[in-house]
Amino acid sequence: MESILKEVLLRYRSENGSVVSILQDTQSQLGYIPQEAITYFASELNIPESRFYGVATFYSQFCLKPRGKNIITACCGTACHVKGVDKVVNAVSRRLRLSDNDHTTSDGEFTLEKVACLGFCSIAPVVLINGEVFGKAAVEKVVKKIDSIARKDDER
Amino acid sequence: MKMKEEKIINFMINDMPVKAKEGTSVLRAALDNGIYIPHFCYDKRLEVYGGCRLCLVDIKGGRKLVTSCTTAVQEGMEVYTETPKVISARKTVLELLLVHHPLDCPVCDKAGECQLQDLAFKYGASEGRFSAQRKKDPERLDAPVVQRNTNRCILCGKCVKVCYEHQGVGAIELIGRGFKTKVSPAFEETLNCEFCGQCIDACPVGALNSSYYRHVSRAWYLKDHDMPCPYCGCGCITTLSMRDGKIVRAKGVEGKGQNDGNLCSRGRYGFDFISSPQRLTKPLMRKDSLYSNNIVSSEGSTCNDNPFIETSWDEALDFIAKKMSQIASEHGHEKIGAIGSQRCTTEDNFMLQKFIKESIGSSNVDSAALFGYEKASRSFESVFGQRLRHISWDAPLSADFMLVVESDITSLLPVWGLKFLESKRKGSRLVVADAKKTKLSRHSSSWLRITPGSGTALINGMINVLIREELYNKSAAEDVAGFIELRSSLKEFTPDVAAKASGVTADEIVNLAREYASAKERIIAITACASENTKSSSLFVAAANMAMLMGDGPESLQVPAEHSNTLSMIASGVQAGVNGKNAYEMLYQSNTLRALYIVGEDPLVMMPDTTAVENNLKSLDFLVVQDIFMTDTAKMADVVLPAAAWAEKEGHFISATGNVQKLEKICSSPGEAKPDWEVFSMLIKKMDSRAGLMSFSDVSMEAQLKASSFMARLERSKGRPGFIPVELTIAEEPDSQYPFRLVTSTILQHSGSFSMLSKNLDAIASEPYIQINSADASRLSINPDAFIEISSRRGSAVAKAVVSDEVPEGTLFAPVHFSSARINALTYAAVDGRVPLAAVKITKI
Ligand code: SF4
Ligand code: SF4
Ligand code: SF4
Ligand code: FES
Ligand code: FES
Repeated sequence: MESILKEVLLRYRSENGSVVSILQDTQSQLGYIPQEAITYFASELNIPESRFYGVATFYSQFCLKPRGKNIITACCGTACHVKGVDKVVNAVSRRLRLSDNDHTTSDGEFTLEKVACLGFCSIAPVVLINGEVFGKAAVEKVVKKIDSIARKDDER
Repeated sequence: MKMKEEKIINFMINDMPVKAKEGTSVLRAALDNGIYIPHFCYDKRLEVYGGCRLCLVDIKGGRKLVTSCTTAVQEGMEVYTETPKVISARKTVLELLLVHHPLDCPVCDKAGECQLQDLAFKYGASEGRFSAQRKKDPERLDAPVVQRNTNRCILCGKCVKVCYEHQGVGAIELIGRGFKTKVSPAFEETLNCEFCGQCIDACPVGALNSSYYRHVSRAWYLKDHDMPCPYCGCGCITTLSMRDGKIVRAKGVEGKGQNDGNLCSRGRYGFDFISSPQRLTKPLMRKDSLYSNNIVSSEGSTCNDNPFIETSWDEALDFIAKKMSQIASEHGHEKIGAIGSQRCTTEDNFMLQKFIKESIGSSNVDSAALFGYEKASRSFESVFGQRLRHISWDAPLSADFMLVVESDITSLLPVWGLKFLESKRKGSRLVVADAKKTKLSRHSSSWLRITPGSGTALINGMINVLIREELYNKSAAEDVAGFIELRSSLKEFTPDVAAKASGVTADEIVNLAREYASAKERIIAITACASENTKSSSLFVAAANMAMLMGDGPESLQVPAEHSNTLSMIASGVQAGVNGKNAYEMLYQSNTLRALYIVGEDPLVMMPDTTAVENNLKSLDFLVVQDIFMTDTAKMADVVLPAAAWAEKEGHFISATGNVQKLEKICSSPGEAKPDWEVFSMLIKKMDSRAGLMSFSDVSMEAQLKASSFMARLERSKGRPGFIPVELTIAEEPDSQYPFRLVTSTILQHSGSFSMLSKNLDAIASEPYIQINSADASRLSINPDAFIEISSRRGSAVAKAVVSDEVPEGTLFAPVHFSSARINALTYAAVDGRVPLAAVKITKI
């Protein structure tokens, strides 16, 4: 990881980057932004850790914990909320044994994320599984998809 | 100075004519003219943010309301601050804030002085047009001294900006977004910062509070007193809130003192040292010395381990008077000496020197300042022909180039240090030459990481460049005595040679010299504290040489006096005169004295080479220590007298800027402790029954007269200036047996050994430690927090290792305050121009 962070830092320096760009770069290299990365950049660049952390928690694109191989994105915007996305979220959480605090399964296979309006309100509630859109998402459909991914992964 | 013609703008607020300088905001102008416009996010120290929208005003002819903090005044403008439109907009802003607010005023420490509460009271409570969730974040009580209750936060962002922009720390940030946003350190960890508490005073509501003040008092029961801080030379005014005869809080208030509301952690949290249970309450006499003087017979005395017995003032003072007279008549007056205190008042120090000089007839009075400010002042005098003057508070602001040499100003004189950051923010260049990474080096325009103690070599190298490239002020310098000598002595000291001696590159030295020479308004700032061991008198001489070479006046060298009353202690006569012995002779040279009287100083912890001091103290016939607690030095005394502390006596301090500031007595002292001046008045009478007791006003008048005439002489007297060639010599270079350099100093949260009595400061920094570079640590496989022993040729100490790249390889740093690890046992005492660095080795435990 150290060498990756060094490269990110070099790019930041040569491109006169910003806190946002260095975090984006880190995330695209590592899939998430580890605490060590922030600590490292903070001391190298003389920018307080709190600045990085503030930016990283402000934009929903950033992820401070490692993400699973498969990403399930549940929309919690108003329309989806009204149409009962919570039911789907609860079912998925139960299926993946996720508690309120962890969003990634212990085997690193799945991450469940909640985001604000995805822009598909007409087909609310909306869930994305690895980018595939599930409109009018029914609990069964979503759980089935998860099962099939889990099975495939097991077979490999 | 950067002077601009400032245009004055005439305009109206609420139909009242108001004047303000061009560029002033409407809000600032209103506040300056006593017109209150509610505001949350504005703070004059910060860049305007304009986020809270509370400061809305109506401007005639404008279509919309504007935020007054972001609107500049304009000629003929008509501003209204309380129109129905403004009031209704303000109500909406407040309403939106109040829907999320827990409204737990009954248990909030801020109630009664909370701006949100006051405004809600004024504009009416929320009617609940909006309904929303309240936050239920747990309170964060885990950090020392600073508590967070983020539920009460109105997200004005002031604390974050004060910490980041103004304080230069950036420990906290607005984390997350939307409803969940909160003020927090990175990763929501426990706050770990410099604990200045500036964010607490900045917070308009009760989201940030001081732990020690939690549920202590309702604001309306407090009575406030403004007093100078007891710690450093900045002389900040702190507003002390009293309840039932006790100080329960200290805060900074905008507009008060030159600190203008700013305080450091010592000033804000250190006041509670006076209520420590360790305070001395009764005069004590050592049993052995009573037996040996046949005052008490040893037979029949109760056997307990305490070497002291409590006694009355009368008995104690009789004993002192008797012993002093006896020693004077048997060995001569000049065998008696005294050490004064940089923290006692002008009156206290004046009376000490009066007692020694007049009642005893000895001129041996000096202080620890010999290793700090006096060293600098005398060096300076030898070049400029006049002693150092006080610093100027705004000197950094009027400079466009600041060179700071081996001086951690933001730790030693923290609030003055902020001026350097401010000046840098406003566009000046800040160059820091220091081996240690400091807050200043982190914020500098350029940081030269020189070898510890090599400042003299760096400056000499710069002088070589200035002369060789003819960048100096010829007309001013060439007629001054010693110019030829200076030039020839440094002829061979080329940037290459200087680079070797100082550990930076020749190019860096050349560039620095050029930049220094081309600046319009330049200052060199160097601290002069007794606990620092990286500078010798040569550094101050070299700096003075360089300033004079440029034709700069004495004010271009800013050397602050260390403690709250260093300047006045010297001015009131506690300094070695021509006939008297200085502190070095008294404490390090054997047989100088038979009797010593030490007031408010702990040489056994705070002075270098404590073994030498200890041996000298042991050889005395008689030692009196007068202090507020049982210091290590007091433990060796024959008589220990309990002194009243700051806030328990009247008197005066003179700050490093030369401000004479008054101290009030606002608390009673514990037990029988007395003000130092009063003790000397009583002693003078004991020594000569014809002398009368002096009242405080008599003492104060005489003392102030003496101090002020000394201060006035500083301004006037001018001897002949002359360059003095100096070179870098280090007392003890590392070698194969003792391979590390030990650098010592004072840290931000402490000052002397008495700040250890403060529970608050102890909560922040309670343990001695030794900083070691990570490369050295891994080479010697020293784990963080492992105990290590370090030793020099003179002594050793054990403390926890802190692995940190703030120190370079080959260098260790340790603070000297902690008596549990007496770092000064290892240090070197030198007053002869050699840098008193010590060479040490590490033994793991
Ligand atoms: S106490 Fe000082 S350093 Fe710590 S968070 Fe507050 S302002 Fe920042
Ligand atoms: S903690 Fe106080 S100062 Fe900081 S953002 Fe919240 S309300 Fe403002
Ligand atoms: S800077 Fe000095 S005077 Fe000011 S609060 Fe801190 S210790 Fe006290
Ligand atoms: S609210 Fe879910 S897609 Fe818009
Ligand atoms: S004070 Fe003007 S917007 Fe906050």
